[in-house]
Amino acid sequence: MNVCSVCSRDVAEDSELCNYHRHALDNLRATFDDWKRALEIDWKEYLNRVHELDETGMWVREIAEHLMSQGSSSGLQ
Amino acid sequence: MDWTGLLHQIRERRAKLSRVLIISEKPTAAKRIAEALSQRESLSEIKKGRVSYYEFKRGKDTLVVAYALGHLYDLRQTEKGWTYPRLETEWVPKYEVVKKATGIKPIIRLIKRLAKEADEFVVATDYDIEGSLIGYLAVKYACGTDPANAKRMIFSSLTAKDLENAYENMSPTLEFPMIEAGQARHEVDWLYGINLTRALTLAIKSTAGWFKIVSTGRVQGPALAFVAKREQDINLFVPVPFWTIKAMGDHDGVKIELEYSRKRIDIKKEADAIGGELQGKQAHVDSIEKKKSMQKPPVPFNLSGLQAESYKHFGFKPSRTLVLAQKLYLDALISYPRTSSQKIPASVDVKEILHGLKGFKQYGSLAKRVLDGGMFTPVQGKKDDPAHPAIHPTGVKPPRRLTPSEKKVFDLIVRRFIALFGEPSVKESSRADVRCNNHLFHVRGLRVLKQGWMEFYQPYATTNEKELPPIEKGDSVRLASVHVTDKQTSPLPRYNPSSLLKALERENLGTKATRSRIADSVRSRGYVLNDRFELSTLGYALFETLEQYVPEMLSTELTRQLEKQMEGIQDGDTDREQVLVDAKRELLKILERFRVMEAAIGNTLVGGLRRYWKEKQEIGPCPTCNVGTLNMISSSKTGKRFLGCSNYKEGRCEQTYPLPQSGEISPLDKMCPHCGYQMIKIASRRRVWETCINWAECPGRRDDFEELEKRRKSHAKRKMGGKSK
Repeated sequence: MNVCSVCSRDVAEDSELCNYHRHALDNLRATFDDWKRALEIDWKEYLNRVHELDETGMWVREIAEHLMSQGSSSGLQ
Repeated sequence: MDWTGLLHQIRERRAKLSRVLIISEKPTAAKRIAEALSQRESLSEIKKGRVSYYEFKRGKDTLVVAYALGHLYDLRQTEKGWTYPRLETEWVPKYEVVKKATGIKPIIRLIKRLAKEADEFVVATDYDIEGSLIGYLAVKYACGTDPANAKRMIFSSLTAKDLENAYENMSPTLEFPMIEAGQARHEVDWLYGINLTRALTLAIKSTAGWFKIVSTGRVQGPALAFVAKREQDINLFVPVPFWTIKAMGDHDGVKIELEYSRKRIDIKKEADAIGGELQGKQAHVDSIEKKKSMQKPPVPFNLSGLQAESYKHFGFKPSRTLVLAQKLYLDALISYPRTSSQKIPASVDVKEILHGLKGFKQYGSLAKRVLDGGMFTPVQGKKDDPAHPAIHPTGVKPPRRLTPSEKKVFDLIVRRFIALFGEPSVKESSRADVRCNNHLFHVRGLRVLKQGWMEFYQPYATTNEKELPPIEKGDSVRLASVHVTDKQTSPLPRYNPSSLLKALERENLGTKATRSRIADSVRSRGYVLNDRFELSTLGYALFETLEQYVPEMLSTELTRQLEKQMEGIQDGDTDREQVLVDAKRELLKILERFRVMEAAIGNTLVGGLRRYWKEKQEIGPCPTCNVGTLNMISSSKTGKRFLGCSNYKEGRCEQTYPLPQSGEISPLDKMCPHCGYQMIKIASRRRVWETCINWAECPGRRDDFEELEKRRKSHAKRKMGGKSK
């Protein structure tokens, strides 16, 4: 079985991420619109900002870091 | 036979019989009962080795009061083997199951001996499911008599008056439906707890060869699920930005704090525009509204109410509050604390209690005011408990000097009780609307017009009073400075011991007596890292395993079902045997599924354990090489522990730090204010303290270090002196 590209957990069905990180990515994507409207920022800037905040959840921060290291402009496909 | 006939028979029998064995739940309770029933006239405590009993005359009768130590008997499987499934159990002396319970053996032996000479048996344990079961098992197994012949003293406090009353009006039979329900609860808890814990532990053993107990249970599983789900929510949380606006107004030289009417603004540009537009502008007071509100006294304490309030004011964990309250109860200072009731029934003589409290230096004047005012109707809460009233003081003075912690809990209970008779407090909240163009600000004030009950409940009742500034409708206020503040939404906080207890109560999980122990066991098993209930990797591994393979063990449904069945047993709708048959059938289904998946379950748990142990050893990054991690290492030569860099094996970093040799060490999320090194927490049995990893060199801790050295030297000297003698 493949392992999550962020942690060593088993991947969820039809995904390259485990359940936790897939869920974190879903949340990250869902919240982007709020940030875009609030600050008029793009995806990269959004990831940077979310990554810096103390309130950000651990799995969200990990997936944000992963996306930033990949130079993601719109999140994992 | 009707009640009158039965009572007549009992009276007749009592006239003939003369030696009565009374069994209490604890030694202190036995002493209180003996003192109350003997009127201290012919009372003698007879010691038999480590244990004792009381014997005295009461009328024609000789009364013998012996005690249990909580449960004297425990369940044990009838078949041999540390495996699963094991479904059949029997009650055996507790010391045969719990090796540490050595104190039980002489007690059972003594009760057995006393029972041989007794003609009549009276159970005087706490009047609840556990107390009733303790008494029943003692009568059945230790006294070797038919429990149907035993009688019951029912009381809610250990005052002489209550105990006397309980003896004179004792129930002719034990409360069998309650006992049956208690037995069923123990048996079902044993079935699920023992079998699933063994299944989990043996899965680890067959995967990695380690014997590491990983436990779960009927209530512990759902408690773990609460903590794990909250942790997941926190880990998955994405904050959202918003902005708030506050202004400092100037009204004839008086500074006024104004809050913008919209609590949050979701777009930065808009917030900045409002801030810019209002800066330095004149605003006008549009209106001033004042509202009066009355607040009734808080309701009487039940156990969870007392535990929550005690945590709020003193930071005491619920389990600690229960222990303290239990001690106060055994000293007859308060009523029985394991109650769900928020009511003080008419049978409680509140006038007498208030008279008693009048004799206390610190409560005398408050009690006198209630007595003088003639207000003897306490406020009542909604929850009821047929067995016991809400927790209240008895009015009896402490027979000994209370510890500071006991004093605090006692003070809380007494003041809450007196407050129940207070008048409602009256508060006036005011709000001024200050307008500038289309923008509205509020200025708020709060005043207590009448203290009422709050006066009795000091220092626990507080109000953040704030006077409304001296402004009137039409006044102008200059917005001297307008501040736009960046904020983000936050996740729900983690559970603390008090909020977890409330969650368990809300879901009707566990009993009022066991909830605090369950919250503690989640921590002591290593499923959470600290008192903030941050889930550990082991906790995660267990949660994930149970969620995937035995989701029933995390669900509240199983327990809800069982609670219904318990009620059914008490109401006579079902019986213990049927409940056990159902429970065993469901458990076997779970265990069969478990057996099939044992290898996968073992792998998940072993992975979690490995991560957990590794994390427990890691303190933080190495400040010297900035690459490795500081791990706790035990020297193979001396056995002493120290911190060493993980980069040591590669020969790149030889940094080490000494560590205190006793206590559990965990890293803290802060650096030393003196030297900037990582802080750690050391929790030993006696105390919890904080220091930095550089404590031996830290300039800020030199005095502590010297003091420690001095203490060590003097200790060594004393030891040497002792030896030479």
